[in-house]
Amino acid sequence: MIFERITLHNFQRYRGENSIEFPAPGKASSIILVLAPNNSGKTTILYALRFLFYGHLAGYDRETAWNLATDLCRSTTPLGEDIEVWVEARVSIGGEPPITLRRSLQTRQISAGRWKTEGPFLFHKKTDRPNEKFQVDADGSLQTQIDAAVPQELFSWFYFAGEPAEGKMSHGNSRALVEPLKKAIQLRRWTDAIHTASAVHTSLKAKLQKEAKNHGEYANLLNKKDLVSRSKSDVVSGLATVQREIQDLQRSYSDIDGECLRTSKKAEESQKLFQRLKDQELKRDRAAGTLDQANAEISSLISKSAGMPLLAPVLPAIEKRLEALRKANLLPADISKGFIERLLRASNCVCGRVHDHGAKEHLEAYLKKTLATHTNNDLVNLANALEGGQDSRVISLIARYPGDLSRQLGKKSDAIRALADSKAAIEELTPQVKASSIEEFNKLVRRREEISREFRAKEKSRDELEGRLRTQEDSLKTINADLAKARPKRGAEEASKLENAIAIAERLVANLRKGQQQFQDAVYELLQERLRQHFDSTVTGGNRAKLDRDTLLPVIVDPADNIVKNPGGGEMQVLSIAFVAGLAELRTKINADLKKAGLAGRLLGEQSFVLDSPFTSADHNYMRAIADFLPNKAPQLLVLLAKQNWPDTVREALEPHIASAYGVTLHTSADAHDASSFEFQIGKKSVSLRKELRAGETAYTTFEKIF
Amino acid sequence: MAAIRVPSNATDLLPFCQRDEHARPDACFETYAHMLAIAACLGYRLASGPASRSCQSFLKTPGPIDLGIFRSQGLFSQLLIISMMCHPDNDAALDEANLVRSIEDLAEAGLEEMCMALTSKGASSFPEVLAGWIAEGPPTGI
Repeated sequence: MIFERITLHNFQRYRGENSIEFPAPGKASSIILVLAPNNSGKTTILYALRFLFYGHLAGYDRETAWNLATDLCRSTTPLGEDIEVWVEARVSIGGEPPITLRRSLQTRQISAGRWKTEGPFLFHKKTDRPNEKFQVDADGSLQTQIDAAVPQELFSWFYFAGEPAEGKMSHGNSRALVEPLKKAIQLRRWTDAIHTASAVHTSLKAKLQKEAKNHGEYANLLNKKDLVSRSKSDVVSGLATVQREIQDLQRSYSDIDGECLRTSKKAEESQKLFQRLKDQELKRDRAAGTLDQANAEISSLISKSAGMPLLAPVLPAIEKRLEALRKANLLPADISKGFIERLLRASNCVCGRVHDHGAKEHLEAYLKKTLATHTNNDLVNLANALEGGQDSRVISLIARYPGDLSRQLGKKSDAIRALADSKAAIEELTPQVKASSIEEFNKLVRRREEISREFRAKEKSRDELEGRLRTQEDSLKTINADLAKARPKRGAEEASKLENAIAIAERLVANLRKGQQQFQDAVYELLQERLRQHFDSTVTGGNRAKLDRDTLLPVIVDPADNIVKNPGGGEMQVLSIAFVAGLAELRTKINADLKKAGLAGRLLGEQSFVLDSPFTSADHNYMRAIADFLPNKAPQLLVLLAKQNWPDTVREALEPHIASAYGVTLHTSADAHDASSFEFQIGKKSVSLRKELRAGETAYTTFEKIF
Repeated sequence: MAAIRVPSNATDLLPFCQRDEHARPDACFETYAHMLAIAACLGYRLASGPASRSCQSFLKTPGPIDLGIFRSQGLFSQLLIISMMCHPDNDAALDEANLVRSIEDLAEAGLEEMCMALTSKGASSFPEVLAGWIAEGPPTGI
């Protein structure tokens, strides 16, 4: 569907005739830009195209279709007078010469609040000359042509607001798109053909079985043949699937291998970073070990010191006390307290001399100072512990443990510092290592090994299936030979004919299946190639686009081939646009091939795109990336942008590719709260897309060519 | 034989005794007797003489520790030195009842200082603080 012109007449907000002219396709500048203030009628262009193609719009029926007429017309047209609402396009469908299409309705107010509407009707004419009259599409052939070119369920793939296919591709609803997609690439036709051929095959088999019903051996052989044939068909289909899977794994392996090579160069630098991290981790572990050791040593030394170092200052005084006891001959006690008491009780001394008064006084004085035996022992022990200078037990406790404890405390403090330093270094290095390619490289290598394992497993399955297929083919040969012998003599010719017909039908089904698969594979290869070409060159950061072989829908994968569910920025936007652009190119190619083969005529042609606010869900960087990506992705591109989607970066990227630009001008009497939101920069000039009306006048919208 | 009771304020420090049921991995007192001896030494060092107050409250578990245990663990010298420093008269110093009383009172003072360190520096730093006091002397004292 390629446009030369689109015209809106009294359609929704657009008063009178408003046209957008398109340059001939193939020119370098393929973009038609429409700039519009917010809520001025930008998206109305999409509604107008849907109305033109299909004659209806969501929210409008026969009763409410009068609402499609511009407010201003409805408020100013006298009661009973017709208002003509139409959308017209000069368009080429399926590569055929252009025609003029018009979808139009007439509506008139028959009484206050009551309207009568006729239409909408589809008209056409060959030329764009005013004197040529429109013909009504009475037999619906034109409508069929439009439906074939842009099926309704695919409209939003090519003419969309925000994202193609109503954003379903990026919201996990892709499955709902599979059928429309298969229809779009004519894959459904294969399925229909297979159904028809299968039905013929089944009916022929039923007929032969009826013929063979009275011939036991022959009927058994036919059943056996049917069973083996069905089993063979499953094996063939399984083999095709395994072969495709092997092909996909080879592709994935090759992609990842390439990534590995690219990453390994960066990985060398990362390796150094990784080694530094490992060194710091070793230092940390050593410091932690030293710390544990110092803590254990400190605890042990505290216990061993038994607090004696705390008493060091009082030891001289104690030594003095002990010395005094020694001088008084009380320490160590030469004579015990009990012995003196016995002496005092006796009248004579041990030497026989009688105790005189003086002797008794001396003994009594000594008795007062004598110590109990155990106390004496304790003091003797203490004196012994203190004696011997540096070698004494107490002195060694006092001399040794404070020094040992100080050393261990110093060691602990050094270990804590080393631990803190290494932890800080690790904290700094860890994110660098994570961000570096070493992790990425290791991940890729692991993935490559996984794929290699899967590949070997698939090869094994393929070999097994091939073996089974050979056995089944041998078995069929034998059954066929037996069938020829067992064929009943009566009606043999008819049975033989039926057997041949069944064999032909079987081959047809098998060939159609094979053809369908080959077609789907070819579509897959082409679409995949285009998708990657468009996506991979636009997106930064290593993610790639990939096509699901079964659904033919796109996904984004990371360098290790894992699906990325929520890519950031605007990658999904790029993917969707890249996919529909690739799809449009593919449709054109399929059409050309079918035409060349003489199989079809005006099925599909080159595809125009209308993109309304394509940057909506993209960040600033991706807005620019998408703007750089858009030019030359379709023979015709109509881009509708509001102020917020027209920053300088987008303008710089798109302006060199713009063939012409239109402004959607809002005619209004309402206060402009922010006049700057109506000011647009295009080329070197600034244009205002707001025109003041007198108070009370009804607002409306027009197109103005601004570039 | 006379025995030394464990002052009540030792509760929080019991896990620092290796023999305690809930001993910590960094326990720094081999036995309860070691804890008391070290606490008494610290208490004496801080008071520079007899304790300023008499200990009134004691733990039931662990129970009183016989002086013989201190003797057998090589801890009696400390107790004797402290008692002699608290009592200028030898008879008084060497009287076991006096010795026990002096040690209990000073141990309570030492344990109080240890508990304060435990609260302010945290349990994991306690051995380090105590080691510092033993190596370089407590922050206040003689």
